[in-house]
Amino acid sequence: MKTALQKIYVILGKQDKEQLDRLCRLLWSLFSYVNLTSNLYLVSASLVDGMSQVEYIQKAVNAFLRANLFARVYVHFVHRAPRATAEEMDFYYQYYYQNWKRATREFDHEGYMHQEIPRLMLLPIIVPDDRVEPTALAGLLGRLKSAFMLPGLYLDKGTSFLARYEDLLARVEKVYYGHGHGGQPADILCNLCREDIFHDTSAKLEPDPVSMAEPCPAALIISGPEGKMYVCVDAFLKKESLADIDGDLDPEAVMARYHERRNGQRGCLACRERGVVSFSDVSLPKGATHEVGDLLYYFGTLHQEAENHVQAMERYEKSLKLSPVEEADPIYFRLGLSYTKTGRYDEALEAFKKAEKTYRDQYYFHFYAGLCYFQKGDYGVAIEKFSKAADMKPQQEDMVRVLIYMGTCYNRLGEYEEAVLHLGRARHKAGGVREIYSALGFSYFQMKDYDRAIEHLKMAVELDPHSAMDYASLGANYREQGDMNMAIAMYNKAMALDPSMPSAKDNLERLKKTVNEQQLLSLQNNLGYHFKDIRFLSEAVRHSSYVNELQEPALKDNERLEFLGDAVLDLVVTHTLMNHFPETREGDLSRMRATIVNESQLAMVAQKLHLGDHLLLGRGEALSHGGEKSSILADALEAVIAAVYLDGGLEAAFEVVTRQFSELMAHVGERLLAEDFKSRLQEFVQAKFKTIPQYSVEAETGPDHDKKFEIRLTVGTLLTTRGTGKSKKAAEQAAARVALDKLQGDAK
Amino acid sequence: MFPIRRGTVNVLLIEINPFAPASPPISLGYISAFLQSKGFRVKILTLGEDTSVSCTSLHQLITGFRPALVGLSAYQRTLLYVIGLARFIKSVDNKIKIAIGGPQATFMPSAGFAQLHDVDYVCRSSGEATLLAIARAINEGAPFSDLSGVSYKNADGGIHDTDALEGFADLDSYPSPYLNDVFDYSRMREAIMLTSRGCPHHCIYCYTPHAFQHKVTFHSTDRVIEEIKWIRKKGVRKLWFADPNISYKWARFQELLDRILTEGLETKMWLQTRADLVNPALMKKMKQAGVSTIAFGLESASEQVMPRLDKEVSIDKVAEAIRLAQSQDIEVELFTMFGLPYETFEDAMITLEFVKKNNVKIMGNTNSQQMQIYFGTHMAGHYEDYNIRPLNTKRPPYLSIGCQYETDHMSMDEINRIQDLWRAHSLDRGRRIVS
Ligand code: B12
Ligand code: SF4
Repeated sequence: MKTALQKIYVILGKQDKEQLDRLCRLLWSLFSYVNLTSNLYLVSASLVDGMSQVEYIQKAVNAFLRANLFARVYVHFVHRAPRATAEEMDFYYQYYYQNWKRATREFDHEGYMHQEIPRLMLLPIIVPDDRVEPTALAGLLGRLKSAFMLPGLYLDKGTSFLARYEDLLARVEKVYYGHGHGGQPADILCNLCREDIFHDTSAKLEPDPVSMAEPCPAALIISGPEGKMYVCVDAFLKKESLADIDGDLDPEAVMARYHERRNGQRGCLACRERGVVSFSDVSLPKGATHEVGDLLYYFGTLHQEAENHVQAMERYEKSLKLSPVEEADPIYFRLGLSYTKTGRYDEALEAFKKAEKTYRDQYYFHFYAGLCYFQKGDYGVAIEKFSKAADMKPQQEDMVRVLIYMGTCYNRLGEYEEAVLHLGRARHKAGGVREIYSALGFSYFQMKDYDRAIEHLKMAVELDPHSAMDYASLGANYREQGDMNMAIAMYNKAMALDPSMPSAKDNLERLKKTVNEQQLLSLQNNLGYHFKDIRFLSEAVRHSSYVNELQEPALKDNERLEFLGDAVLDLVVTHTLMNHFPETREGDLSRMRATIVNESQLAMVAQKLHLGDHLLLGRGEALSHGGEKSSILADALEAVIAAVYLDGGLEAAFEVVTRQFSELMAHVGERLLAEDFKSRLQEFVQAKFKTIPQYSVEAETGPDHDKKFEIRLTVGTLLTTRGTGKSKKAAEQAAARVALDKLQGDAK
Repeated sequence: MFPIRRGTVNVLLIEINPFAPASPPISLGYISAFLQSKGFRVKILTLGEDTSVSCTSLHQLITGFRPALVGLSAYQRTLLYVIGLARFIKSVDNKIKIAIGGPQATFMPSAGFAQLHDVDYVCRSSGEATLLAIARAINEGAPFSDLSGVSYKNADGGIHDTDALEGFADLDSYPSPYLNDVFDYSRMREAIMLTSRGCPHHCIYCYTPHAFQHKVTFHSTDRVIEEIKWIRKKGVRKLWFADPNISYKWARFQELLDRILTEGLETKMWLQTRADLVNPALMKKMKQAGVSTIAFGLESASEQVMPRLDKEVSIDKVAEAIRLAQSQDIEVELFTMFGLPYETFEDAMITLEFVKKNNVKIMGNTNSQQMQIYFGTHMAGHYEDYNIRPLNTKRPPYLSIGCQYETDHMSMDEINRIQDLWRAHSLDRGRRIVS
């Protein structure tokens, strides 16, 4: 069966006959959907304006009751009470309420005849003015009560003082509470609805709090002034109207939509919570205040479970103010948990302390206190708390947690043996927990037992292959063992898993640096020069690809040094050649120098120095074997020469270059001669005879892999020579050499 | 004419009480299980203060289920609502036949029936067999043939009484509402159990002995144990025994408790019995089996009133039974009444004082109430002999005096005063559970 309407709330508008007619026709059609026992709330700004409308609506109610003998209706007329003297109140009573009361006569009689409560009950709810005269009001309430119009009283901030008048309260059936001051009928209506929701929510707390997500008791709100209907107070506040007031409305369609809207995603739990929160600063009677406290606590737990600790704390803090002292401990405890989760450890400890009486026999109480001290870095006290928790023999899983924390505390205190002891117990209880191995790894590392540390850390990463920290720790252990490659590999892994991990990044950098420095030492040995300031050399081996990748603006690549080194090398080589070949002309010297200072020769020198091993390259370059590329090697060598020059001056640079290039320079004369007969011949012939030598192949013999060429050289008609060689070029050189010898000999 | 098959019409059973939360009615449960076993489709509708039901949903239920017969339980205090429902049902489909049964129907005079315009049958006493006969008659298309234990109105409104019908002597002949899953267990917090019916005593205000001809009939222990097992399986962990005197036969009750204990069926239990039907050993066993509350009928603690109620239980006996229960830490409830014959205001005060003195909490069933004069009781037939003056001479004939009376010894005013006093001492503002 579809849920029947339990309550209909109506805000009465102006006294407009037509509007009222429409409203009555609407109510009449809705009565078919109201519950066996239903409540009609008619809210008006004033007694005088409201009463005539109430009486009109009452006729429809009576007709409905007459037609359905099993139906019962409570009519609540909610209205402001005029500020009045006792006599004036008396007048109002006689003139207004008594008239209204006539409507119940037939039902009072029927009730009497059937020995039951009448099916129609009139319940005026009076909203007093804040300057009301309590005795006058009490008089009115008394008269209403004795006429069996059980009155209710609506109190808000301005009138809550009336709750102190006991004889006033003795005459009322129910007190309603609103927050804020006075307010319009719409505000009063909202508060009535909210109070209802609050009671319903409170009733659900004990048996089944999950049912709080369900809609509140089926109600309908009709706003006369707006001419609209709403499915609930939430919809009313959000102005999501269900339909316009219209006496000719199809009630079936409206009610179908009503149920659809109510059961759709209304967010009833949140609405209930808002209702409860709105009652948290209303001065309610003690019992109700405690209920609000209970509910706030419950909503706090919901937020806490959803990890919304800020909201949870707000609820708990409010709940504490409203709940009886006897019930405070669980609230303090929960509050402490949320404080812990938000890093407010001191406040958490204070809250825990307040919950101590109830919780001190619970291991988790000491555990959480320990956690706070742990987080505060007070490891000594933390250990005390944790061991108290451990003494209470928590269940397996929690025991393991306690032991891990204890171990970690000892680690932090530098008491590694103790740490190993506790962590060992934890491992004994639960084999598969990463944290245990991780912490043990730390202990052993500190105890310099790197093998054991590595063994445990390997377990840790096996249990959780995504644990960057454990990889970093492994790195540290390998580093200490001197296995730099493994160390770097581990750090790289850590960085790949968690690029933001600062310690890994630092360590990796530092490690690379030490490796680098170690390696630079061998480079220096090879160079035969030891730097005063190694930074020059470091810069020299830093290729631009590496610097680009790191994106560190402070870090320089070796290009500027290379630029300088080029000049230094030129200077030193030129100077040396000048010394070696005092006879040789400038052109030849230039050529000699070119045979030394060129990419391939420099690369060869660099290779001899194993410079490639020391180069810092970007990942891309490293992958494409950049350390073997002639251009990179040559440039780097120049940079290294510049570095020597900057560190030790020209003398040092001179020494290094001559040492590294001595062999090349020793043979440079021969090589130059050997290699360049062709161009020397051409120079000579051109200058002397204004012609150029001509070469032609005379013969080409031998198999492909062992060819022999014979070249004929002619210089005009002056001379013909022949040369043989394994290549055309070699054969040409041979021919040119013979020709040059002849011509130079002739010239002498 | 189409041939009508046997046992095919639908029967709707309704219990309405808008003043209390709905609880699955064991009486209708029995009737339902019985009719179902004879091939009828039966639905039970319980309308309480917490049931959500409107005219529209009722209308939908009736047009959806299409019952040929609707049976309503009638109590003195709910009769107005029964009348209302009957009228409503006839307005939906006036071919639907309406029967009432239960305590208010069993001894309702014809004059009362005559004024229940929408009611076709009044079933007297146990409803299983009476309603079956009616359902069968309707099914056959001859709605008034072969009836017994029933009064009916024929087409021109004439009232006819049929011969009385006695219920089965062996209660196990009635199929179990529990074992036949008549009720919805999902919302059931406690199960109303019934291991026996009727009472042989002669308390002058009581309806039960007359309704059951002063006989007591029983279910076998096997059947009760089977039901308890089933109910526990369904997750219900509280039993409420409606037997007037569950310990009427000591040996049988002892056996029941023993089996609960040996078969591990301990369950929280509420039960009521006479104060002269308990002893220390039994009480101890009750406690072990899970009895948390026991209710005794005290009625009055005045030595000058009590003997005149023909209850034949002494006030000392009640005090002793209270101590027995309390020594076992079993909660005690006491049924008491005021406005009894020969009772003065001072007598009534003695009852209140007795309850307080014996440390019985005034709440729930211990909240006292005015004696109700119901049809069928000795009192209803002889109230004048006890100097009782009805206050409402224009009472509808389908209702008995109820509480609308005063006595030579207590005026209406005094009755109201004692009522207010009880209420003032009540821990729950006087809300009763059983009448
Ligand atoms: C248990 C009980 C309750 C329980 C019911 C629990 C439940 N969910 O079943 C509760 C606590 C809810 C209860 C409430 C009330 N009870 Co009561 N209750 C009893 C009690 C102690 C036992 C009833 C019982 O189960 N008997 C066993 C069954 C098998 O018998 P039965 O109920 O009479 O039902 C059989 C017949 O009467 C008949 N029958 C019943 N209904 C119908 C309907 C149809 C259509 C037909 C054909 C036959 C039929 O067939 C049934 C099976 O054989 C009796 C006292 C007594 N010893 O009988 C009082 C009693 C029945 N209750 C009584 C009263 C007054 C009430 C209340 C009105 C009290 C109140 N002020 O609210 C309410 C009304 C309940 C309602 N729904 O309308 C009175 C009735 C007197 C009267 N003439 O009205 C009795 C007789 C107690 C007394 N004071 O003497 N009650
Ligand atoms: S009051 Fe109890 S003992 Fe007396 S007749 Fe009724 S059921 Fe039997």
